[in-house]
Amino acid sequence: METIIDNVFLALPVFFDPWNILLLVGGVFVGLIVGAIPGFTVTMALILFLPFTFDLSAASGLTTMLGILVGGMSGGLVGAMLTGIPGTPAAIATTFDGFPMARKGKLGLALGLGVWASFFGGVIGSIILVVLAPTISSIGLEFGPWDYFNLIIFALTIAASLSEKRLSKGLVAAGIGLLASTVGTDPINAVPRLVMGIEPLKHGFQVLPVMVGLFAFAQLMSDVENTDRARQSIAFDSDKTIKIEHGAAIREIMKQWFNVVRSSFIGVFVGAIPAIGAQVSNILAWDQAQKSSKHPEKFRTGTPEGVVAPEAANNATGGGTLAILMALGIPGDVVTIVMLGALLIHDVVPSPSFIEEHPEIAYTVFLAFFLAHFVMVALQSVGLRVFALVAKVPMYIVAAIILFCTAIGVYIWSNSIFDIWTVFLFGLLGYTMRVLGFPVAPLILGSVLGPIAELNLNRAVSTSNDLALFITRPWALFFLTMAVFSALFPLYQKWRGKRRWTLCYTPAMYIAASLPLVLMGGWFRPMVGVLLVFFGLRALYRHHQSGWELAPTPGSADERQDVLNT
Amino acid sequence: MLTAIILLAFCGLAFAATFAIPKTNYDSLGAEVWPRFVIAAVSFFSLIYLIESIFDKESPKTGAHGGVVGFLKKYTNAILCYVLFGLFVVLLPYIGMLLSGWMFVFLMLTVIGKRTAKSAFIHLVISVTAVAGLWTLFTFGLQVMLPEGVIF
Repeated sequence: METIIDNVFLALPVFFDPWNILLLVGGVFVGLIVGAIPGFTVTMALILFLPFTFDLSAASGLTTMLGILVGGMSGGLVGAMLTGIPGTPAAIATTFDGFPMARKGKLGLALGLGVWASFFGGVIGSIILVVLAPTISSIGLEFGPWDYFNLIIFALTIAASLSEKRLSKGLVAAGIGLLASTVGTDPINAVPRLVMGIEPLKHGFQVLPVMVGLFAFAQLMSDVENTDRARQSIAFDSDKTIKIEHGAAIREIMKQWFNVVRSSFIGVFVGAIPAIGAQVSNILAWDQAQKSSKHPEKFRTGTPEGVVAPEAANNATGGGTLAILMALGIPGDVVTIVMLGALLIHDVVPSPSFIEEHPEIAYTVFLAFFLAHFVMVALQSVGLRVFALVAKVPMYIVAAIILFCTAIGVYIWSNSIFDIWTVFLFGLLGYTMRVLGFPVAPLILGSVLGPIAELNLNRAVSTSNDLALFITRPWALFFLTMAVFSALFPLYQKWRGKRRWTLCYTPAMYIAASLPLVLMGGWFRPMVGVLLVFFGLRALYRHHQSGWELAPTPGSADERQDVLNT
Repeated sequence: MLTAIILLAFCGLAFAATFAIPKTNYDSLGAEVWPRFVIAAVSFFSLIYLIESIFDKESPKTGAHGGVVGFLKKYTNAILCYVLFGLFVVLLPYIGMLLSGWMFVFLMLTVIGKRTAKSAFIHLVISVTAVAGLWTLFTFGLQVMLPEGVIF
């Protein structure tokens, strides 16, 4: 704890530079506007503005990115309440009660609840982040290259969880991303690979233009595909006068402090697990709030609890995902994939030793995440007014200007027209993938993590020819086990409540994960392993006692899809 | 099913391309090993996808878009935008960011927006203002060198 406090004081002068504060405020403002626009996700906002931060220092660039992240997470609630369409996937559950509340004439209260729940959730998430990240990184120092390689395989099975309809499509997309990352000069042997005689390809496909093409370009093409929809303004009812009721919202949230804290912990916990992210945490939190409410029948009609829970969770998720990202260098969801790209572009390589070696940068990131929530509350009202103006512009005009901006952004980052061609190529690929129903996020995940996986594979083979170490080392076995269950997670989600085998999924995961934990040294982890076996067997016993009875669960993938289709 | 077959064909070509990777005598793991491992994985997943497609009754069959004409009609805007963007990048080294950017934005607005004289004028104003404004901001405000063409 003393080290944490010392590092916070070390980072304070770096963070409180006036220029960094200004960048943080600008980032939050941009995030609020872009996050509010349906179809323009937080991910897109991060990617679009990333090139413009390249000339800034690592601390300044990351501060800006974090401002956009926090602003975007909170901005999503505006679209959710005004139009019933979440501005970001992290605000899906906010529509369940936020939109009905707004339609009842309580828009100001709904927005206030969302803003302040986001604030408290984010503050709790950032406090946990500061405490959790160094702890996780100290565990990460135990990893060898075999463990790290398997950890990346586990992270790549995020691909499976991101492809809701078909597992194979997500894994194909991830594989193509891995393959794309091999194009260029081999970083270890310095020989050209798969360049097909094209000289600029020797530098490979850079992360930024790939991300811009896949996310921004392809998304914009989807937005203008239908002429009638493209000619409409971004949001309907944009003439509404919007005023946030801060006082009433704070009083209501104080009455529900337990809901806020529980939802925040759900958010952080979900964020710390790769493959999930805020798009799931907000639904889980809403579900838990409904189950523990004295009036569950009031949910979906515009109850305050139903607004507070998802908004607290989605902002707190940032704390969990950033903890894993900063401590291990593993992104937990689509947004942190982009954040990892941002870190790499600023020559910041997150790893278990990073926090120890560069505490001033690491703790600047933590401070930025914490303080961005205060800025978000202050700017939300201003952001709403600007959103109301921007929302009047037809989508096709916004799309054309943003496409031009992406070209400028990518060019100023590398001074290379080839990278604009990369945007074009991956934009075409990304759009084709969307049309064919392939998820795009696994591809970018594969292209970002591919080089790290290859490096660790090389190190492992160079250290020892014994390939069994990929299975026999406790951490390697743990991550491989989690990878198997992560890859099966979409199937579990699809059949939950419909097939009996799904009742065995969670207990089997507990029991399988317990073996490597028991093999680890010390007493704490083996004890956790034994407890997992106990909980797994207990769950199986309970299912057996109830005759393996199935029960439908809310917040399924289909329900989320239904909300997005509304 | 067609997509899966194309993916498998692509994997075959990619695997063949790995034989062009030079070998070195100082590596513990050859430069071609990781790409081949990845290609093998993609091939495996593509095969699973092919098998799923064959047995999947819900997936749209080839021609579900109404043939080539139907396909082109449905994705007209996207295809035209890609063609315009491609043209923009081709012309960039010759006429510079300002002119090529303005042409791209104006033509994209014209393609998707209403095609009336009034709309054309609005699109012209928007494209000139937006592109010139951004170009000025970056060139003079942020002192960033954007590509210059022969003319501008």
